[in-house]
Amino acid sequence: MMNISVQNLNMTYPTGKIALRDISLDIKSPNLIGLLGPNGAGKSTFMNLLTAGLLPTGGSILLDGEPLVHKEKKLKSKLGYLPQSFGLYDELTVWQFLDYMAALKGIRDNKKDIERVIQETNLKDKRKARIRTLSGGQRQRVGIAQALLGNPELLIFDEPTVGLDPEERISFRNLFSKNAQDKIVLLSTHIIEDVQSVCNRLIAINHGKILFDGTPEQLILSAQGHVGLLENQQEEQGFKVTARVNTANGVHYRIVAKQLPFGAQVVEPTLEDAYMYLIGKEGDKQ
Amino acid sequence: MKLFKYELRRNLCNKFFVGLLIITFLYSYQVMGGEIVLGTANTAPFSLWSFGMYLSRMLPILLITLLFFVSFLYSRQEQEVRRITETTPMDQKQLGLLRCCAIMVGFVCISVVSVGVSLWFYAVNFRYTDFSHFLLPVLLTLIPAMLFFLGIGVIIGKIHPAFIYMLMPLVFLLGYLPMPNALDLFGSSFFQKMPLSLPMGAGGEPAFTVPFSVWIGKTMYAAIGVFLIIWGVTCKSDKTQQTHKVKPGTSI
Repeated sequence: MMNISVQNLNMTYPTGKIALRDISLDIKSPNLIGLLGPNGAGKSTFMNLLTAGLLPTGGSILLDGEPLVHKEKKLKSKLGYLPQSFGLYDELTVWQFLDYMAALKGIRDNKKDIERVIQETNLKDKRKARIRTLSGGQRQRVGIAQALLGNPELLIFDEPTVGLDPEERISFRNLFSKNAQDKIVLLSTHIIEDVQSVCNRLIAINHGKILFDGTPEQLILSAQGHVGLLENQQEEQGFKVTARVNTANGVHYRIVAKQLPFGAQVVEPTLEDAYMYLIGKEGDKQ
Repeated sequence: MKLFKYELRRNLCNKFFVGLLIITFLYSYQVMGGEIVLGTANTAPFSLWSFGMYLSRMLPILLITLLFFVSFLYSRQEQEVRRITETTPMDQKQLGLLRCCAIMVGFVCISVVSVGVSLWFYAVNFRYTDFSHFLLPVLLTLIPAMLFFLGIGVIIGKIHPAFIYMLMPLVFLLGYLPMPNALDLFGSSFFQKMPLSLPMGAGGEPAFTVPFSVWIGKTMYAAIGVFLIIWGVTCKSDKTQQTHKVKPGTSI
């Protein structure tokens, strides 16, 4: 069992940019957490802090009750991390790169483990291929494979499905879900579909602040009565169009708003609607 | 051991190394056949003085290979891979030292080619095969220069990777710069002028002797190099100063 406690976390870069403001939350295993937020919301900074790649300018992160700054080695021995952008050694084959990473992770029975992650990430055909010959999606799969090496207790994936085709995305969602049965999986994305079906907890973040922390159902519930259909688009005032659908009866607009305009037909919100509503609400406040 | 094998493989199995290997081979042959075959300072071509002179002529190209290896530590690819490797439990200082060891072994590999060409040249042209004495000029010339430039490369690469490439032409210039014996890292002045100041020995040429000041100078270069390597590898980058994007040359 792993327990991560984040207390009043703040991060301001030397440039003066405030990336995180007063973040507090607890993460316990098993858990599959979706970290949602628009680009530049602070997700990657948060993940960098969780992986001890950055030191916070305020607050603390506790790993099993002890400050992370003193337990960096312990964290790293239990961590599998896929950063948003990363490089691979192009001159090595897929198998060699994973062998290299397994050696860095200090994995003893590495052959079995490499075979397992190759199987799980569907790289069997590419195991002997040089990394420079791989497509973007295949490179992403190698990145995911190295994170899975050693069956770590904490898996952090920053935008893991970028570059993957729809079939692969579904397969990886299921893989993350399977892994979350006995560990913590933290999945950062701005693609709602990726977290909709698998995450049991969602954390929405924007402008460095937590806007929402709860289950997907709770997020959907928060948008009830704020999502509607409009048959003819009015001047876009006080609402946000989330979809434009061409039908036989003309164009229908799916909208989210704090107060739906006159004539809008209230519909059941989806997770995407709820997320748009949440982000829009935050935008209105600012 | 496995990590070391991969680091060495990454140094040796690339187009830069293959290209420099070919250039080293051809240049070695040219220096032996064009300059060393005449002997240095009125000594035989296979005297330790001539052999030392040969090594000092070869040093710039060997050191450029070394600096290429160092540049790999700060390459864009390396910076991007580091985003993953730095989240592993492997001690980054240990990994840095391991990489420096792999660079040194890479340097030894290319030096073996250069020395091999000279030994082959001696054996074929002069039927001279008593190579056991050659170890002293090899150690005296190659080791301090390797350590010194590895240390310099590690430090300047940390400041900015482009400085490593700027150092490369300087290495060539330094090889031809006249220096006092004690400071002559490349040894060209020492191997050319020292025999002329010595009395003739039993073999009709001055015996190979290395003055104490030269030993001190070489030891100082080696010690500075080791200090810079350790400093470069172990000094921590301030994590609070980092941004999303990994800056080039933050650490190795």
